[in-house]
Amino acid sequence: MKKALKFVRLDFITVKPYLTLKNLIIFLIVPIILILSSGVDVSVISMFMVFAALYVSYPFAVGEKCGMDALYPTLSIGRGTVVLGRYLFALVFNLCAGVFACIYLFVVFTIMQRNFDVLESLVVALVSFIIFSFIQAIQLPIYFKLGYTKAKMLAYMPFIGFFAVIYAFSKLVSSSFISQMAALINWVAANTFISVAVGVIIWIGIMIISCKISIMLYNKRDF
Amino acid sequence: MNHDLEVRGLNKNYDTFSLKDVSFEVPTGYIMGFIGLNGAGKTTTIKSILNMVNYQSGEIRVFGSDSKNKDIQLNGQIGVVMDSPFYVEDWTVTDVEKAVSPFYRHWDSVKFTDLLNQFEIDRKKKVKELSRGMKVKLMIAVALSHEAKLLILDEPTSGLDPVAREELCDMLGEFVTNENKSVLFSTHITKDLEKIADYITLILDGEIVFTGSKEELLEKYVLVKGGLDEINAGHKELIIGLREHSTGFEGMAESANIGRLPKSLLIEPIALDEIIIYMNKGGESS
Repeated sequence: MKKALKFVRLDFITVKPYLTLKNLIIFLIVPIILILSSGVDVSVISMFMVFAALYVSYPFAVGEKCGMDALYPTLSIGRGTVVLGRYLFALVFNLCAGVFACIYLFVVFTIMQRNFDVLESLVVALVSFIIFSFIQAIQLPIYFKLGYTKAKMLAYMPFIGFFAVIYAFSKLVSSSFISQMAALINWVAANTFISVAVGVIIWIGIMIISCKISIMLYNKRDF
Repeated sequence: MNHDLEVRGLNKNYDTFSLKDVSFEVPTGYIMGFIGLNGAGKTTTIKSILNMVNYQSGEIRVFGSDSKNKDIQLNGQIGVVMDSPFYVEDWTVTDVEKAVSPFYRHWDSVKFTDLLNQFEIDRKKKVKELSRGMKVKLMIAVALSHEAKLLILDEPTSGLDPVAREELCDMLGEFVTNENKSVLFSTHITKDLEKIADYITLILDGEIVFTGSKEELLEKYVLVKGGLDEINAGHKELIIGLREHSTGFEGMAESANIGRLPKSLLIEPIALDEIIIYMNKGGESS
């Protein structure tokens, strides 16, 4: 585990040259433009998660360009550690993006003298985190299997698939299904602790399965 | 004799190339030259040793332990210099140290700084701003800064000028003055090895054709020259990589076969690069 944490640091050093001031300014300005132009509220937090998701793929892109997959064994970093470290990097990056987005929007809303709903912001950040975690749980094994260049197009499929599913749901589901879902949501609201526990267990389970698949696929690769 | 590295029966198959039963040993305290033409299998062998590629069968032992043993930090005791660095091109030299040093138990920052100064490498420079020679020197600086017991170098001199090559060879000679340290030095520039190597492993088309002391190899073969009318078909079979031209012939023969060749032929000592050339030519004709 200690080595996996060292690997997380290595991944941050890997993407550090690309965390430029220019990019940061773009990331900070675009949400403000959206808030001003279309009046969107705290849902703009999810935009920060999109930026984070882009950076999560950077270690694969930079690593492939510079042959870093061959560097790791010279540093006695096992393949399992590489995979575990990369998952931790993705989680930490997503978390940081969510926390940063909340703080940034609080500051922006305060300056704009608009009401900032803390609870709503945290819920949006948490939901975005979960959605992007699930998407990355599908993306990361693809990157580990194919490398960045070959996986690039395939890795966008979970994003497209997610929005396709949302669209299909909104168009195709019957009213009885919606009422069933409403009942489920009511139950979840009434049993918060159990719901959160089940959600966390499902989330951990998906992450572990994804991680195991990534290790299996990464073990087969030659560098 | 102890061995820092033992490769036994290594097999690795690609679609168009295979390593076939590669076996050799690097004795502790010596420099092993690993020679062969481009594409002969040197890099694949080295990548197998470092677990960069998965091999089908065989055993690789580093410092007496199975190299696939994940519980032992074997590669931490190995200094690796490949033909190009695996560092992020936008890293500065300082970033390189920040990135790699936490993974080495015995990282020596002072020594790294000394080596950078010796090689005149500016810490603030980005990897992509360094010349090929400077990149190799940066890798050497990293390899020599964590108390490695075994250096593995894959074609490090191919991008270096003669002065830098000489410096590297001197450095390797100095490295093995400590009798517990060893070097596996893969190159096709055999002149470097003639000066510093104690042992040679020669690989051709994925197969080891010789492994042993350099003197043994240089004594095993001789250069044979003469007129076309001096040899018959029987003699030609004893000459490896026979090259015939209008004024005569030349080729390589095993020293043990000199007595079976005409005494009139010119017999000369052979150089390492000539051995590779004739072996390769012999392989093509057979």
